Amino acid sequence: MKRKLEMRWAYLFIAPALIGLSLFHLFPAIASMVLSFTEWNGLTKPDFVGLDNFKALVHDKEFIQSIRNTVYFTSISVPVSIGLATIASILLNQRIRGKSVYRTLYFVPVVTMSTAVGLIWKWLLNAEFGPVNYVLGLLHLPQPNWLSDPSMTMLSIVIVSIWSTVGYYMIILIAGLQGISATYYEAAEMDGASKWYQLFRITLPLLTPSLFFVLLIALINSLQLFDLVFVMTGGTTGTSGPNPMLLNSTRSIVYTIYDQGFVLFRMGYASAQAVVLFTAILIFTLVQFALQKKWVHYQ
Amino acid sequence: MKKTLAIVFLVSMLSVILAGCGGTGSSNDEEQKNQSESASTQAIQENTGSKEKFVLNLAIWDEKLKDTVNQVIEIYKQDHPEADVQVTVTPVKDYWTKTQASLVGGKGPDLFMMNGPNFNKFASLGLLSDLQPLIEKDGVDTSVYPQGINELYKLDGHAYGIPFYLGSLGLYYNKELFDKAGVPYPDESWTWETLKEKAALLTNKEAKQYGYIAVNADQVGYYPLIHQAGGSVISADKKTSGLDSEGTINAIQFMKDLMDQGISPSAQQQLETEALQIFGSGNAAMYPGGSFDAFNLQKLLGDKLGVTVLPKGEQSGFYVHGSSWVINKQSKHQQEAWELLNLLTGKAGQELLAKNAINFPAYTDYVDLWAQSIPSLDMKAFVVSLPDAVAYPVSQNTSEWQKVMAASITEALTGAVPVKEAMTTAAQQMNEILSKDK
Repeated sequence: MKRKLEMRWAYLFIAPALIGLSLFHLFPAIASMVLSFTEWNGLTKPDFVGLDNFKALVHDKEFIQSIRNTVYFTSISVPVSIGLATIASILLNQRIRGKSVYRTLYFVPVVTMSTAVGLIWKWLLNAEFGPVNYVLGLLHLPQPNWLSDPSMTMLSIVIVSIWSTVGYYMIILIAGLQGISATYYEAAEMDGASKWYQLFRITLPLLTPSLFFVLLIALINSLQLFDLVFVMTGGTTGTSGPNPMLLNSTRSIVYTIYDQGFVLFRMGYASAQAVVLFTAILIFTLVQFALQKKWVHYQ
Repeated sequence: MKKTLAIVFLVSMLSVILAGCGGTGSSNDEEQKNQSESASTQAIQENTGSKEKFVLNLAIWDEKLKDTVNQVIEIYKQDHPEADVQVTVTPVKDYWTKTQASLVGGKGPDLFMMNGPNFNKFASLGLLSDLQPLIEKDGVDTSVYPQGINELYKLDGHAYGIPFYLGSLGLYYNKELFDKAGVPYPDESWTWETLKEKAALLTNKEAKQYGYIAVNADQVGYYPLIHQAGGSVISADKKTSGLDSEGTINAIQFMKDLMDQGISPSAQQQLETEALQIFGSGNAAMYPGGSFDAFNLQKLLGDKLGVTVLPKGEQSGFYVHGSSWVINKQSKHQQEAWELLNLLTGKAGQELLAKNAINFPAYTDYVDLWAQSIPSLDMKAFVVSLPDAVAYPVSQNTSEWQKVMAASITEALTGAVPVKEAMTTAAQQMNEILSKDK
């Protein structure tokens, strides 16, 4: 009896979050699945078109290019950012002077709004007047057109994205490192294991649950790349928005969804793209959960 | 099982929705809050008496116009003390997306500014109020505005917008740089050849100083050159693209040559630093700009700024554009919005627009007042060149083919694709888009 009452209280407490989630997340998600089978401009009634949207997607050069761009972005940004975050977390988990200062410094980009990050980096990377190229010039290194050379733009976005996410992964990994019991290290030390041996035989294996979580989040985040593309390759010329030539090398899947849905008002088609993205992320995640048995060690 | 459910939930939360409303929606609202500025109403509220209060929302893309609009609102409030009018400025890059999205969502400003390339899309989606009955009822005389601009905002013979200002073009120059190089100031006798020759003299690569800017943008950049070279953007019947015509290709080649010779900043540089900024910071001697640039350029360059008519090629002139005010069809305050619109486009608004040196007024009677509004800058070049101007290229889906055109021209100018090939592709793609027009 008492337990039942407690359960009611529990539901009451989670009610605001639950209502919010269903209203603003679950409902639109289901709605867009339904809309993906329709043609809808947001004004008139949606027309049911069956699988037409999905059929059109297969031949849509812009969408295929956006998949290519997103995969390229993900394949570099995920491993590099996790690698750097792992190194940083291990270093900052030592007893060093002023480590809380370093931790804060690494974390600052995470709490900075991505629009601000994009704008500041756009200025830093300006080919002619930007400080980055100025420093490269002093060192007699090549000064690339970071944001106007189509072969460089995505790489620039990757760099900025890594800079702004490493801190977040680092914090999760530090938490993981601190969960590792000191007794393992004491025992290893007594047996005469070197620091490197300890790192590879104790630290990393016991960090795998955290690494798994970080990998999952990183992958989902990178597949949803949007804001940096929107802000950094928006371009400055013309009055009709971003320069299409530049955008071709950076447009991500989510940018294409936004473009179709909120610029061109092809809501049904945009929904179909969103459903494809959703399915891809779902499959990725399930595969990872299946694979985790092979490499994740719980204590 | 539970775990799988959790994953599905996590993924659905993070993927589908973030794509849409999440990020942009909320940041736009924030922006609106920050940028909107309610003209103070407190003082007048005391004597509102019987009339019911109402709120009118105005949207514009031009920051420098805001003060003038607020001055007109003050006049409006003398007759409507119960009104609370808010002006929101959105940078032009996001203006169209944001406005269309909010209108489609059943909200949006009551009264907002419109341009030619976007008018047909908005009007044919049924988002704008038909002003024709109101014009006839109140006997508004639209013949005080240039005929071409009136036509730009008509759909099936009905006016949906009233002209506000024109975008006349001219050649801005930096007197200081001309004096230093000992080159006489440009005048109406200049041709493309003179321009090329003198611009070379004004170029100083070490000082990062350019003689001229071949602007990689439509209105002030390649459009006037295309017209001057005898080319076209779109045929008179709006059915075929003119981008692969000989004149058009020559115009783009002319721009590319200037860039390749270092006389003009390259297209790549312009992708990062706006052409107007390069000229405004004194790093270029000449810049083809609009009447709408005078206000800001004068602030940046002061007495050093001069302006004359654009040099001629095969012919002189350019495509003239004009912006208008339109009313949201779903606005609950049609009559109130209409009255404010009349003030803005009528004598009171046009006089302020001219006096404040904002831009070329659409109301012909106030053009001379505007031309003299900046003491150090004689702007009659914008007025005398107008007879040579022709209608702005638009069709039903202008913004769609503008995208294609901008991409191809940028590819041509950066050298990624040969000029002729790029323009042929652009014309093909544009024709495909035009064939979908009704």
